[in-house]
Amino acid sequence: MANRYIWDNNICLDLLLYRYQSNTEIALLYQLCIDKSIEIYLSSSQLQAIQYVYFSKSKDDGTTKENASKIWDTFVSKIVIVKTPSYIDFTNDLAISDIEDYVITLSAETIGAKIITGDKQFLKHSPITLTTQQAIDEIKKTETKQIAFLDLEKINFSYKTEIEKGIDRVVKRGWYLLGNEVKAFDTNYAQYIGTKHSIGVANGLDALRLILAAYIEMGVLTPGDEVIVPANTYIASILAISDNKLVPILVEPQLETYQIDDTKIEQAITAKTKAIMIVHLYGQCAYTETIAQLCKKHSLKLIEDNAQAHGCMFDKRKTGSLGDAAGHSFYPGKNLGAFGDAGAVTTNDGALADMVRTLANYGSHKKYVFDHRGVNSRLDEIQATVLTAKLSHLDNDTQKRKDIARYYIEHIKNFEITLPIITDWDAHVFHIFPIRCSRRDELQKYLLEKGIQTLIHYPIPPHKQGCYKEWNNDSYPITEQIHFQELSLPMSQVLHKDEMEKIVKTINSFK
Amino acid sequence: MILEVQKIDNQYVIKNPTKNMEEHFFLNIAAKDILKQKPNKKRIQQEDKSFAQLQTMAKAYPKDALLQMMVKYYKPHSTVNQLSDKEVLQKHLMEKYGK
Repeated sequence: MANRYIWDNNICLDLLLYRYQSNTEIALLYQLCIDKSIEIYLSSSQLQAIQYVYFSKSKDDGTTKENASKIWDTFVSKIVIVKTPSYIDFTNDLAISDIEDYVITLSAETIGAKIITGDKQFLKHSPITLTTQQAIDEIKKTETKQIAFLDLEKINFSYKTEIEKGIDRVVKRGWYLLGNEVKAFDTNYAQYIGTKHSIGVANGLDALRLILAAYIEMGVLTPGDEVIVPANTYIASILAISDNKLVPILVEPQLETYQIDDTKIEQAITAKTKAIMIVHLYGQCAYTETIAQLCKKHSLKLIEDNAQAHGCMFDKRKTGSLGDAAGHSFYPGKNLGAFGDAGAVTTNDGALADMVRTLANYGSHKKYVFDHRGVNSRLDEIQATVLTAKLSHLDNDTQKRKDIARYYIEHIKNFEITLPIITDWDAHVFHIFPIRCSRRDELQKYLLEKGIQTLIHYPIPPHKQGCYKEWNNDSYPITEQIHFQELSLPMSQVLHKDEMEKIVKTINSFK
Repeated sequence: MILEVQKIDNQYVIKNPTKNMEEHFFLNIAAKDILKQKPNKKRIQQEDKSFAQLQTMAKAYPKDALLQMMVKYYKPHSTVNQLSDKEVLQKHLMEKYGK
């Protein structure tokens, strides 16, 4: 858990009025918060009291109201306000002795924070309070011990207020499916990707499955048709094909980029081939002009699996808008992640969009009229509101991921490690930062012993999985090499510089 | 000798008369005539440890808007004869919500 502190009223006033004489540690506390990027949290219940006392006392000191307002406004823009929960236990000792302190405590508990206070009674009655000096000691002692591969709580915490507002809106409206939030997200996401349509669905696998099912329903594809797909993809891309009774044809990737090798696609095309599914794996663009030309030459549909590459670019266009249709996943760990499963289909094809929407809603485009055998795969209002809140920050978050990737690339210096080769920084959003090492398992163990969690994407290639026994004896040497050697380093917009430094130092010391 | 003066009904009354003063003096002077030493802001700030501390910190963190504002509009905080935070708040609540 990150260092989170609610500042009690007296501590806020010590800072605002700069009462250095009565709280000599206030300067150090504030400096530490700046240095360690630690936010100042306040329960919404505290605001009135702090504001009144500040204005009253600054007036006594001779500060004009105008100048006091400037300081106050700057302070308010800097702090993070935490909601005051409605669930109050009136039998709680602190609630009985001091309801104000109890409410602050409840707010602190909602974010896993401690409370810094100079109030002796508060210090005595609440186990999560500490003095300024104690907070300073605690912050100083906090070392980067365990580095999680992905700290989802920390990531989503950054959007807390916007998400809270959206969820309140949904709860208040009492409309949970196919409502305004989904409509708004569909519009925003289509605009972001650069397509005419975006249809929110239940998850990324369904997004791909529904595209193919819609093409079958429209007579564009027929069961038994072949769909080319990279051999080293995540299983969902392949499941979407085989679930529709289509035939996945695996094509090897390039070792350097991990993306489908476009020089090997044409030899896999037969009379039955009707589509190519490219996968922007790890967040890197897989689309090439060669692939586009092949699709044109052989009249193939181009489907993008954009589950890992929200915001990735190809020549000023976003992935997800490059082919005939794209499937997107908003699984919580994705660059744009929901609070559960969620996905979307994007396309410029109006007929396909209508069919996907119909199939995702039991095959119905009119209530209780079912023209197609569909499924229930809809994005819900809560997920849509979470995604809308996070979408506006996506480009900024992507930039942070790129900065981390650049740091890794510039600082990891170990001849046993193969780093990604980046020729176009716009064409990668670093959902994953993959490295390769022939002693991958030893490296992973070494990093874990040093407190660094890594993952493998993916340990078993699709053709070696039990669900595709018919392929188990096939050979895809590049895919297999990747699966034997790939290791994914911690990567997210909330990764701190201390953590990056530790990761690099530890990898460089691996012998 | 310093005499303590209090304003009563627009008259300034000496509060600490000496033994020789059997009765209070009544001074007929207007408030504007009382000599006031204008505080020298710069001098006060130079002697103020809090300000020096704040200034050092603001210099160390030039991008921190709050510190820059606090230095710009700094006034020394008096601890003498000041109500406590709680008393100020109590006064406010009394004014807002009545007795």
